[in-house]
Amino acid sequence: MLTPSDWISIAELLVSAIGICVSAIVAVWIVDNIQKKMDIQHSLKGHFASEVLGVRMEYRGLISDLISTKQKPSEIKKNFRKINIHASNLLQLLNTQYGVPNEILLPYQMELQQIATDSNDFVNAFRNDRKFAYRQDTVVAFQNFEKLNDHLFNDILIKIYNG
Amino acid sequence: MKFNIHEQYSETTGIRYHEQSDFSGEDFYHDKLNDLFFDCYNSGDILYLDLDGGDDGFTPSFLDESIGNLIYDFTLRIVSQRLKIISNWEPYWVTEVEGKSYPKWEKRRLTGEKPKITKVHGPWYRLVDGHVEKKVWIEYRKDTKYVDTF
Repeated sequence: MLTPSDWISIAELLVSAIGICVSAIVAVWIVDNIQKKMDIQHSLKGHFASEVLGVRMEYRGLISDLISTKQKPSEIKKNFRKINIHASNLLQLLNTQYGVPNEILLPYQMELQQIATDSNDFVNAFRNDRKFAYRQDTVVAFQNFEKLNDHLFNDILIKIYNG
Repeated sequence: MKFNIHEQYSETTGIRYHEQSDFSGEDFYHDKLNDLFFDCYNSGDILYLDLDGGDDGFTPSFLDESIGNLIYDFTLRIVSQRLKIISNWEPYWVTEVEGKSYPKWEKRRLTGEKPKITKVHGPWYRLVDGHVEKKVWIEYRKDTKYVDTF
């Protein structure tokens, strides 16, 4: 026959066991949720990093075409606009998520476009919208621009992964 | 007052000067922007210049020349108060124009480095000693490109 103190001991054991189970369940739930959030954050960073690399490829392609192919002024204008808008849209998201400055790619959006559209080659071809090739001094300007500014994309990636 | 360049001026815009292209920055200023801005200045309104829309986009020289001339004729202080550039698609234009064109053209105004004109224009508005006058401020001559009549 169980004495009252036996019942008390059993009750204490049961309470301890329930407490351990509840703590274990809560711990698993917390870790699971944190892990999920970390996984989501990691996936998001990966996604945005991939988008940044995509924009970098677009600008590299743009510069390569400016240097090595003949294009019409209207095509050059449209290509700049398309890539610049893509970059702007992405930067707005990155600014919200990771505090990346909206103007970080301004050299690509403005300075590069000025090199391309202020050049005499572009200006002389503009009225008739004829295909033309840039002369060597402008080609060198494009190459120097890229050397000086390509690091901006790495700067963005660093901000994403540090964010 | 809101004015969308692509919808209300031209779907495609040119580069800096009339001698270089149709619908140039010089053309836009003298054919449209000077009058629009004067109307707003005179009525106490604000001119919202909308850069969005269309397929074509702008060249930096188009916006620099057109808005720069506005600074030259009305001063940076007045233009900053009465002109708002809107671009949701391409916000970098606002940064570029306000950050670079504004101070550059204000400096030109203060040092008297006149805008270049490459065709005959009708009279246009300019703020002089606190009041607005309309006249041909710079006369076009083919050989020298411009002669200041002011």
